Amino acid sequence: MPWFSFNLHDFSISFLSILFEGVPFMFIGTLIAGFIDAFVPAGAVEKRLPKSPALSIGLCGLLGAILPMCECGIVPVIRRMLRKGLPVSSAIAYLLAAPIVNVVVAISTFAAFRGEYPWLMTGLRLGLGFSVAVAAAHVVHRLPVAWVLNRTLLAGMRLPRRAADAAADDADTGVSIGFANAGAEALVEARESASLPRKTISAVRCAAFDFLDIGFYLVIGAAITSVFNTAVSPSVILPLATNPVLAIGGMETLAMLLSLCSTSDAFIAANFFAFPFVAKLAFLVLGPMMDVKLLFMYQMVFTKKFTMALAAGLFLLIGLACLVLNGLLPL
Amino acid sequence: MKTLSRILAPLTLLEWGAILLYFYASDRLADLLHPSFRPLVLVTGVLLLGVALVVAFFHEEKCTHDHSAHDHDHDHAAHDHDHDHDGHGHSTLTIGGMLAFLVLCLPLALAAAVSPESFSADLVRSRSAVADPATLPGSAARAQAEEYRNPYLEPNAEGNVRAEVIDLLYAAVDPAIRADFEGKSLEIVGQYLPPAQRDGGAEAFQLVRLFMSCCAADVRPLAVEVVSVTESPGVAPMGWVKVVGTLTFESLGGKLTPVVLATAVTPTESPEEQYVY
Repeated sequence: MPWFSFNLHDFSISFLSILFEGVPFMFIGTLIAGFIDAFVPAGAVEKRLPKSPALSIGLCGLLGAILPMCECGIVPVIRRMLRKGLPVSSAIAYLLAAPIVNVVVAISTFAAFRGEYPWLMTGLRLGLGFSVAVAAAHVVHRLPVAWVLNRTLLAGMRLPRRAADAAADDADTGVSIGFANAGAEALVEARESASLPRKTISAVRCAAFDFLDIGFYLVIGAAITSVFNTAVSPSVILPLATNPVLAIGGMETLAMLLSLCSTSDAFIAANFFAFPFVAKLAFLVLGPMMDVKLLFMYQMVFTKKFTMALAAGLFLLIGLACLVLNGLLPL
Repeated sequence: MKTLSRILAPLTLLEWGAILLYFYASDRLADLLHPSFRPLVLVTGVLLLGVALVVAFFHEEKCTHDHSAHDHDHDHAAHDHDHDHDGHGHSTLTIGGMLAFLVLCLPLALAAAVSPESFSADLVRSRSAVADPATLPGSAARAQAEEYRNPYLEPNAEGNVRAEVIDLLYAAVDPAIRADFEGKSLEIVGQYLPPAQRDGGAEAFQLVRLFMSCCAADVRPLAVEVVSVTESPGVAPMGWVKVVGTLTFESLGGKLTPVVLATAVTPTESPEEQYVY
């Protein structure tokens, strides 16, 4: 069979199945985001977090255990929570950790690796996922906000005046942003004092437009994933299995291309028998954090530069961690 | 253009809601998704229709949406809606906005129009078949099911014991299950997958069922070899056939592989659920 063979019918089945599986969760995420936008007062989130950035990051990294979110649904929620005052570093910790550090993923991982050190794989997946998310959040904590968040989101965020001015300087947009704009403050106050029906309509409208925004990127990501899923022969990556570095890199690349849901990817990974244990671990940690679909969806929140840097950074960090584990684990 | 931009958003939401509901109502969703995900599609379809109506009939005079700086289309091309934000209006739909709506509407509609019931034979051949059913999700529960512990599986009116492809794979790894099927006349339904290149001689093909974890994108084939003394069943690759025959096992590399020596291979209707879960 040639390495690339495109069939429109096979592509359409894969494309529709990915969309139909992801759309309900994405819609749930946009509804939650819409209601956060309408009902959560600005500043309420940052009031409830620890003042210490390290504690805040750690707490948000564990939040997925009680507020699990699929990677499709988490993007609109994060976008709204950022507007409500969630620190960017804490948002990164929750964004990256929540699709992995939750009970559903733990159970599915354990079940999938029943015949191959299930406790070890489950523990390593959750532990490495949490660690990488927290590490990434600490790096982001040191970056200028304007380098991380896209201008559209930045303009709508509630930042302290000093941060808003600094962000404006960094962004060099020439546009007056943040809360120097008294009109924006008045609008926020008017919205927060609106009646319940009015707030509900506002929440639904926000959810609708978030759905369209994010759906745009989901469609593109699902299409690209489906091309790789149906047109590229799996035999292309099999020769990589014998070398640990290539195996880990190959499985990470596959995780990004397949864009599988974190609740079921363990069953796919478990069947790559030729690949070493740590390569499968890399597949399971990177996939929920970054894939082709998320590469597009993240641009609703982050700058293109940051998204690419995040993808490269996660790829390298997870790959290195798995390589170190390969040397330590007697498997 | 103002009217166009005002109706595109609810129309797009209506299209998505309608397509989700159509797939659910027509059972085409069974070709794409695990049963546990299907009710979510129904609920989402209904809610999307409701949301479309809210967007169409309720307009916010003022909004603190993310778009107070609208100088780049691609981040919010779907958002070129026509009410004022922070003192500057944007009532025209840009080229980028139109393209965004096309991306949202066209691929979904086209894929819905052309998607068949099953993957092609070439795709199924390219995916490695599941050798050990114990690695499949839910396999522990499946192996513990009462039917596997009953040594007296009842033959049907034709004198054949009804079996599934996955039963035969379990039989290859579990002696207790093997005793239920080996040497008996079996009736198995599956999809016909001939080899890519036929060498002639006895008709040998794979009888396939596709295993799904979550959605059609992750399906993997469960397959048993069938050697038939009859002619080709006269169905296209991946068409549904009923095989009647006797189960034997061949040893390959120390592992047993189930082989069905078929006495009859006939076209049949697809089962209600084409996938195994």
